[in-house]
Amino acid sequence: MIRQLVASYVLLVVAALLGLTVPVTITLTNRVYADVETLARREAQTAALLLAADDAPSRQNLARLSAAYQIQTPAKMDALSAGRAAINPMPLPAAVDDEAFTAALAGQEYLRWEQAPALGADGMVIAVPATAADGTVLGAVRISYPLAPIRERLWQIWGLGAVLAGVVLIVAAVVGALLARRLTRPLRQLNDMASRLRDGDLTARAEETGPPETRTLASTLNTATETIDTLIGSQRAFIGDASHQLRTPLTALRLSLDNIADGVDDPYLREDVEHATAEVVRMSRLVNGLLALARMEATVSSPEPVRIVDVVADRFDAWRAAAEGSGVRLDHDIADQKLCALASPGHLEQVLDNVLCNALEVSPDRGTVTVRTHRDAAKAVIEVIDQGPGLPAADRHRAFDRFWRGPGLTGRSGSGLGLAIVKQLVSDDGGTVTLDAADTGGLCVRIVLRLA
Amino acid sequence: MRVLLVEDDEPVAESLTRGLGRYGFEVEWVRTGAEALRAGPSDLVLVDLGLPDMDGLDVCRELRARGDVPIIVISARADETDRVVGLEIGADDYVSKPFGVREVVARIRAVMRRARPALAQPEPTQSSKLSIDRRARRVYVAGAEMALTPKEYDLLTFLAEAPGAVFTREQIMEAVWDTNWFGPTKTLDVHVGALRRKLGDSVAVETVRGVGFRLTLS
Repeated sequence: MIRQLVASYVLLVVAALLGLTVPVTITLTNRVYADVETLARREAQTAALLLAADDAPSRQNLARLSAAYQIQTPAKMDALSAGRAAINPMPLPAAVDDEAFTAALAGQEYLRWEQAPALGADGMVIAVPATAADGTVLGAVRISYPLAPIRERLWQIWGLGAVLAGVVLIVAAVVGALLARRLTRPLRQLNDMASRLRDGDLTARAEETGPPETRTLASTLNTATETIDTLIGSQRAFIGDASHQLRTPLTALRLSLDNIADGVDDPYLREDVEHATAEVVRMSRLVNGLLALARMEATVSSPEPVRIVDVVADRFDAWRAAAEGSGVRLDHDIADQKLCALASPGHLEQVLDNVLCNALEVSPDRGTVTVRTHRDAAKAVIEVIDQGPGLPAADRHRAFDRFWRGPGLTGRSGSGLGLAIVKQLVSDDGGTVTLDAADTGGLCVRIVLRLA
Repeated sequence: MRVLLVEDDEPVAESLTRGLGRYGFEVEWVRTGAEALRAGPSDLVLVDLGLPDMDGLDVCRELRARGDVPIIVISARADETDRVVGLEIGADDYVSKPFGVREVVARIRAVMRRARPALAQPEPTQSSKLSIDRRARRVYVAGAEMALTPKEYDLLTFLAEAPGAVFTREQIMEAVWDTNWFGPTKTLDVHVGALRRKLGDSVAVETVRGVGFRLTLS
C-alpha cells in the first residue's frame, strides 16, 4: 500500500512537471531561434545601410563592423557588390552564387535554416539587399549563423529542466513515502493486532485511533474478537462439562459390568457381559473422538515452521515395526530436504499417524506405502500413497465426514472420526487435505500446507 | 490395605468400592476434598479431580505436603495439562475415566510396588511358567531368561498385574506409554505381536475384540 501511495504521488508530480515544463521549454526553444534571427537581421540591416552609403569611409566601417561581429559572435558576415564582386577592403565571400545572395541582389530578404556555404556547416543564413535611396540594389549582406552553439544552448536548457524535474521527483517520492507511512500507521497497528489474534491471543485488541475509517475498522475488529473469545470460551466450557458428564456414567457402567463379570461363573453370561463391556468401550472411544474433535475446533492454532523430513522420519520410526509386521515397506520420496511447512506442534504427527494407520491397514502383503513430499506453487505438499484397493470417487468426498466408515477392515472397528480429525487439524493450520486415486490403484492422501 | 477414595459421583464410587473390595482392598469413600483432608491415615489415595468443594489437584498438593502416601489421580478430564500438573505436584499415577475395576487394581498394585515395596501384595505372576523379577527388570519363562525391550517389559508387567483381566487399549497406552492421546494404537499391536512371538505358548496375550488385551497364564 505504501508503495502504491508513493507511486501515485510520483505519478501526479510527473504529470504536473510534464504539463508545466514541456510547453515552457518548447516556448523557450522557439525564443532562442527567434532571438538569433532578430539579432542577425538587425546586424545585416545595419551592415546593408553602410554598404548602401557607397563611399570609402562607410566601407571601412562595414569592414570593421564585420570583423567585430565575427569576434563577438560565432557567425560570419559577408558583403557582396551588385556585380558579385568583393567590397573593398573586405575579401570576396565564399559561394557568391548561392540562393541567399541571389535573392538579396534581386531585392528580396532571404532567411533560411540550412547548410550554410560560408561556414561549411548547418546554420541560419540571412541575406538582405543594400538598397540606395532610389531603390537600386548596390549589393547584399549575408550573415551565416552556425547551428552548433544554438544546439548547445538548447541542450543546456533541456538538461537543466531534466535535472530540476529529477530533483523534484526525488523530493516528491521522499515526502510521499513519509506521508504514506503516516497514513498507513493505523492499518499496520490493526495488522499487528490481527496477527496476534491469528496466533491464538484472544486478548488482542486494536487501539481505536487514527482517521474515522480505521477507527471504525478497529472497533469492528475488537467487537468480532470479543465475540470469538466468548464463543471459544463457551465451547471450551462445554467440552469440559461434556467430558465429565459423559465419561462419569460410562465409568460407572464399566465398573458395574466388571463387578458382574467377576461374580458369575456361567461362561455364557460372562460372554454377554464381555459384549456389553465392548460396547461401553466403543462408546467411550466415540466420546473421546468427539471430544478430541471439539477440543481441536475450540483451539486457536499457532502454526510454527516444521521440517517435514524430520516429522516423516520420526513417524516412520514409530510405524516401521508395525509395517514390517504386516510385510509393508515404508518409503519416503523427498524432493526438498529443507522443505518446511507451517503446522501447530503435534498436528502433523497426528495427521500422519492417522493416515499411515489407514494406509497400512489397506496395504497388501509386500506392498509399499510411499510418502512423497515436495514444493508446489508456494505450498508444501505431502502425499501418502498406498497400494490398497482405493476408494470410489463418491466415497472419496464423504470420507472426511464424521462417522463415515470405509468398506474395509478399518471401517468396521474404527470410530469413523479419524479422517474428520485429520481434516480439522490440517484446516486449523490453514492447509487442505484431499483424497485422490493413486497411479498404483490405491489411495493418495494429499496434504497441502503453507510454506514456512 | 486401606484405600481412601475421594469421588463425588455415587454410582462410580459404589461400584469401585465393591469392585476393589473383591480384590481385598478396604475402601473408605468420601465425597469432598474437605472430608478427604479430615480422613484418617490410609495406605493409598484415589482422588477424582472434579470435586464439588475444591479442586482435586489442591487435595493432592495438601496430601503430598502432609506425607508420602501414594496418590493416584482419577479424572474425567482427559486433558494433557491436568495430567502433567497432577504428576508434577506429587501424584504417583493418573488414570483417565472411563476405566474398569481390574485396570484400577493393576495401577494400584504397580504404584504400591514402586512406592511401598514392603506393603505390596505378593507377586501375582509367580506361575510355574512365568516369573518376573521387578527389581532387576528381568522376565523368566520356564526358568530361562527372556530378552525383552523396555516397552515390551513394561507392557508385560502391566498386563501381569492382573492376569486374566481385560485392559482397554486406552488404559494400556496410558499406563505403559504415559499418554492419553486419542488416535491409532497400532504401536500397541506391534509390541503385543513381539511379546507373543517371544513368550510362545506358555503365556498368552489374548486379543479381546473391540476392547483390548488380557494376559492368561495357562
